[in-house]
Amino acid sequence: MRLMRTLWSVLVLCPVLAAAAPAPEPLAMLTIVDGEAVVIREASRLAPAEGIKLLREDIVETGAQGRLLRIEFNDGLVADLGPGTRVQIAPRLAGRPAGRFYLLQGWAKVTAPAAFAGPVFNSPLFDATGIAQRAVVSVQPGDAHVFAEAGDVALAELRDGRPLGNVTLKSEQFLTRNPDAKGNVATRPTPAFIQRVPKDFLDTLPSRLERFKGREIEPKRLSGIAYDDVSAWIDAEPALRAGFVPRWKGEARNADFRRGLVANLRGHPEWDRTLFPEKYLPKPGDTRKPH
Amino acid sequence: MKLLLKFNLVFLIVFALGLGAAGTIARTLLQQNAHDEVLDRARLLMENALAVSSYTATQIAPLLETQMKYTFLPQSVPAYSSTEVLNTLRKNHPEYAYKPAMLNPTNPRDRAQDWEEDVIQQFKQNPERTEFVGQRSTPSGPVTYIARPIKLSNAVCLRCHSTVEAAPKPMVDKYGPANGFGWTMTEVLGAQVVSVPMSVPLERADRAFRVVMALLAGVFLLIVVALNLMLWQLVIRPVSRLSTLSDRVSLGELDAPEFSTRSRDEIGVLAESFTRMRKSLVHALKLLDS
Repeated sequence: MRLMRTLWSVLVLCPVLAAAAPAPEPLAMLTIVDGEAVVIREASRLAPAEGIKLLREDIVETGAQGRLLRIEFNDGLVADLGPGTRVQIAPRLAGRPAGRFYLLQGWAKVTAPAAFAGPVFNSPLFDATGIAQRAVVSVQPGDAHVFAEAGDVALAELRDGRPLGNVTLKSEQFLTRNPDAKGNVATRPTPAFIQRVPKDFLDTLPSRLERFKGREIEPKRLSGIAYDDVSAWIDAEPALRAGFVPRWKGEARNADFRRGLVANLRGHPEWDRTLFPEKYLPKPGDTRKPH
Repeated sequence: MKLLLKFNLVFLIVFALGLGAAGTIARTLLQQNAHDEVLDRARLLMENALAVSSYTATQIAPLLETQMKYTFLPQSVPAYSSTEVLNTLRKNHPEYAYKPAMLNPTNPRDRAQDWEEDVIQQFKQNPERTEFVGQRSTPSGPVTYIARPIKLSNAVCLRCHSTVEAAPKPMVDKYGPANGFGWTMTEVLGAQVVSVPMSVPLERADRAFRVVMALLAGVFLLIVVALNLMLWQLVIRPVSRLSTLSDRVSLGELDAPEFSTRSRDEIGVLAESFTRMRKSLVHALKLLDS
């Protein structure tokens, strides 16, 4: 009887406690949405709209036809995203300081407020540890570029997630980086880079944060995620992707999602335990505790 | 010589003298006015160029600042934008030529020619001078020009024109490090020059002159016709009739009809006097006969 009463109390209190739990603190806001884009929160795809608040570990992606998507952080940092870009807000990175966002792929123009301190953003080939004013970054499969548009840019180069050295770009210097070698610094960006820079990056737009102050704009849910929606993240560098296992563990029960995970398991072996837990059960006679 | 002929001869001489004097004065005044008008329009164009330059420096260049980090945009250069705007204006006013002639320009198209260098040197030697109007000979005829000094008054310009190191790299990439640097504030760097062929004011003056002379001649003809008609109607015809009647009366034709006129002018008074004289003559002859 006593056990029943306790269970009943727990059942009643659970929703109350859940409702009383503090809402996640928003870290940034979408202030410009021009063209095709999507926000992935937990395991949902949300339609982006100007004024939507972004939470820790939200993923923001622009499509190939996207023009400009602006993220303004609470501390004044502004990230403009070009077409075909994938970023995660405030990533959890194992083993190195996490910046305001992780740029997995695409184009970003980062504008730092005066006296901005701390890591700015992370990416597969370098972490931006300081940006004095403005920098334009391109991360594509096979290479990456940084143009210090105004002010110095401090970078910590990485190879396979391990430190490779630090480099500071002076204003208007340009860094070209491929995965196998240290970056090459030039005094000017290459004509090919200038050709490819998204046109919307060529103008300096003022902050639009004030326009949405005090307004609560709820994002509209589009659908759940499919494997293809997040495969690039699931196969990202190990320091980043480790956090996606608990996040999308539930999706592994979806047949299509599971099929995708299994087919590319070599790219994300940490999912093996989730996909095939039976392999990790203690064998008969094994007295060691399962991991 | 008949009265009408005498009258017309005198009128013609007076008119020819008057038309000659009026033509000479009108031609001089019209040429001077046309020249002044051309210079005024040139000044207006120059001020337009200055306004465009200022607008570009203060409003357009800051907007293009970010783009200039990637590619040099001549549209952000005041001299370029003013030249482009005036080149557009020249489609409607092809006779006017504008050039921001510089001694040490970034864009080679702005480099001063020999005669422009002389003008710039005059401004350098007389810093107080604000305008210079002159004429020069060209293969296509004499040309009048108006020039004003170009001085650096906005310190923002030094960003591109002080040293190669300070200049935007895309600009150095485009124009090279040799020209357009070392400018200093308030130094005379060049001259805005608007040139107009002399034939332009002269043609305008001639056109106006022809109109004025044609109008004067037309008015003269009208006056001649009107005066001739009036002279014929009011003087010559009644006097001729009176003369014919006098001839008939003097030849003894006492029953000739009376000269009738309702006019009250001098001719009317003369006719009345003649009628009275004729009555007196008839009366005297009748007395003699009786």
